[in-house]
Amino acid sequence: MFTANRLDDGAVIWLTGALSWSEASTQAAVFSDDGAEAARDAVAIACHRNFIVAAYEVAVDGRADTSMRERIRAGRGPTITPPQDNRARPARPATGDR
Amino acid sequence: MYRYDEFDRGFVESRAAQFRDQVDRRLRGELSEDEFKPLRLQNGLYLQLHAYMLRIAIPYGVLSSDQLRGLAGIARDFDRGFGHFTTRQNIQFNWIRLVDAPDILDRLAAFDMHAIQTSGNCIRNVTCDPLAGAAHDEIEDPRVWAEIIRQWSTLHPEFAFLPRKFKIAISAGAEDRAATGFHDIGVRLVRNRGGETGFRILVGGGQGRTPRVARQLAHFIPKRHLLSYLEAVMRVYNAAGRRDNIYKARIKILVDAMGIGSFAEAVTTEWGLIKDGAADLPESEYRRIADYFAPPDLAAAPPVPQALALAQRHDAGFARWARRNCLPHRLAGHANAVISLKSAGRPPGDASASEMEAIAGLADDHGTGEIRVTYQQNIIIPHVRRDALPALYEDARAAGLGGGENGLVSDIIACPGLDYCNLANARSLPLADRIFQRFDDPQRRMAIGRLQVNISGCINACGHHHAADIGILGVDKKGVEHYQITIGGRAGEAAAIGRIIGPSFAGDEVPAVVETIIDTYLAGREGNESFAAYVARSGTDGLKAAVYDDGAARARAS
Amino acid sequence: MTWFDLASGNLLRRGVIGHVLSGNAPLADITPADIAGLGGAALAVRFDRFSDGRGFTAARHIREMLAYEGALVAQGHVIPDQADYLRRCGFTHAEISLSAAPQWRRSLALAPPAMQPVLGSPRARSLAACRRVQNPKHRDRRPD
Repeated sequence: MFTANRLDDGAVIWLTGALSWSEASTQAAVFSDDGAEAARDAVAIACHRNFIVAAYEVAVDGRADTSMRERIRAGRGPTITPPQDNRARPARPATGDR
Repeated sequence: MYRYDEFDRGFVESRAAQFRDQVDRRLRGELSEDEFKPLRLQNGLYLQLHAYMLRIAIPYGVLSSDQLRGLAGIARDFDRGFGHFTTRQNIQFNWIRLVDAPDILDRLAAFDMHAIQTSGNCIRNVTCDPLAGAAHDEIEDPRVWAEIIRQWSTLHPEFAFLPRKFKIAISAGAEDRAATGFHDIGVRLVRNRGGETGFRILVGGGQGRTPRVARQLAHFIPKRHLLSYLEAVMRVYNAAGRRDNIYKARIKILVDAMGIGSFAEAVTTEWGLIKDGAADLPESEYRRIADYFAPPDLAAAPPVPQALALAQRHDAGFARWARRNCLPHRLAGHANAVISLKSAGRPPGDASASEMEAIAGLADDHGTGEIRVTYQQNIIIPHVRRDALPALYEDARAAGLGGGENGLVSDIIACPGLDYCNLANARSLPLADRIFQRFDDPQRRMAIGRLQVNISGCINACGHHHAADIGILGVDKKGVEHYQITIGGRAGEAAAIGRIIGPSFAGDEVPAVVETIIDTYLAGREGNESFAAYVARSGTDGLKAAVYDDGAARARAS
Repeated sequence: MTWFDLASGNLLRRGVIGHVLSGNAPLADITPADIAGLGGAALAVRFDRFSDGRGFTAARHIREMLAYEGALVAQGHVIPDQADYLRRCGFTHAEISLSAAPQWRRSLALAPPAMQPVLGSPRARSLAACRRVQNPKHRDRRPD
């Protein structure tokens, strides 16, 4: 799998099978040796176009990487519950996939 | 407290405008990430595990209630409604959009705050005794000098691209509450035999991969020469510090390599060239800054009012809080009240926006509208009349901020760990919570007494594990989170580095290991001997045996 | 490549450089011999990487220790965002590409005022308007 942060807002994103980027880790594609070349090109282009930053390759065993780090990252937040603001605003609308 | 004048306001506004230009150029591709990174870091912006993180300076730990409300607004408008008070008197927000960062800097500038030099290879936010100006044991208010150092170090043209980060702390109390021994430079206000106040300078302290307690560089630097002396230290470091290996780039490694004697000589030589020059502060500028820190006009209050004694008799919770969280003030009728950010289910140092507003209200209603943040990740309301303490406690409790005792086993210092940090090997926050739960009986905590447990998620030691009675360091053991235990560390006076007691443990074993260590101490202590004194007297062999012989079995069983 | 005047923001024809010092050189190795016999040519300090700040200390050493008063040029990897830092440490010029000049000018103008007096420039707080005032000794002495 290939993952990065989107440059302008820092959101964690994954490369999909269609070689587009998604905020949903479930959309992340696992590239075998054949597809990996095209995927690496897609990563390089996104970097070059200043769309992503800090890209890296996640080696996976089966469907998903099971390291705690990648699980926390895919979960988009900490494993503990942060304090809740009692005047919480509605969450910022997701920027969506691009 | 210090207030920005027209110059300071213009300064932070122009800094925000400069960063806006840099962000625009990065987005357009005119700045590479390689070039942009040090620029954004020097404006407090990291790229972390989930997104960008913005670290905002709380210079020497002092905030006004309005500034804290301003930070609450940032948490609510730009992040997820909470902030994290760090171990270096900063606050950080975890889901900041790069494109919003210049707007946030503008917002900060409007209430006299900034994020300058909270990261990067430069002189970081200067930290200070959180009781400065309110302490019972200080020579004089060190905030004046913390502010002078802040101004001198801010965008210093020569020291913006150092070999590595550089941390300075200053304290003036008989007790060192700023951990000056664990800083690149520690500054202690002292009085010489002639009665003149000046500075003892320590150098080369720090935690991380190569922990060192700072050594004395100069026993007495006159006040008027502080800045030229610091500048000389920085120049020697900038010129000679290693740049070939990030792990050997801190000043402590240079001091080790040169020897403290040669290092001091090199500094003295440089200092001779610039002493009495432009670097030193004119007396008029010193006075201008010192005037901001004039003591508040506090009305005389009875030393132990009846109301307080009554409340202590009737409410065990208040009695406990008053005993642990009310720190002595320079005036007998006043106290400095610790609002703990360590309670069940709360990640150490985290506060929601509404809690920040509640704390601001506590300071306005019961103090002087001033707030301090501590490197132990708690809040202090200074200058509270002792007869106002019961009401302060009631209001804090109503806001969910009345729990947690200062300096006891539950007052855990923890870095954000793997839950947020790109560098971490292991999580700190769930472990802090499990240890908290293990000691959820406040009477038991009181019986154990003063005991510092600190957790770092990696060897960079942001959680100060080296300086704890019981230190816990997250390590990666074949992809699984493990934790190493150290014993006998200490911040403040007689600073010491904890020693590793043996092989690491899995996360779910750690609370029982901590409990075993504490039970062994309780069984072996003499009288009211503190944990630190017990370890100093009896060593760590007994604790090791308890942990690795019978303790391990018990840990697995629990 | 061209010279960017760090005091005025003007571009100048590249002048003659008499001697190039490495920004990485230990201070003890930067001696009066380095400024002797320049014969009106400029002295340059070369940066290998913009993030290696030794060149800033080297420049101050050259100004304050060696009392060098001629043109001092920053060469190599320096970025526009460093323009004001370079100037305040004693550089008179940065050697840049022509296309980079507009951003250098812009970055110089965007630099916040100085908190600390360096090289005899006035303390900005008391003389905020003087932030562009240079020590006259260090004004452009670019050889023709």
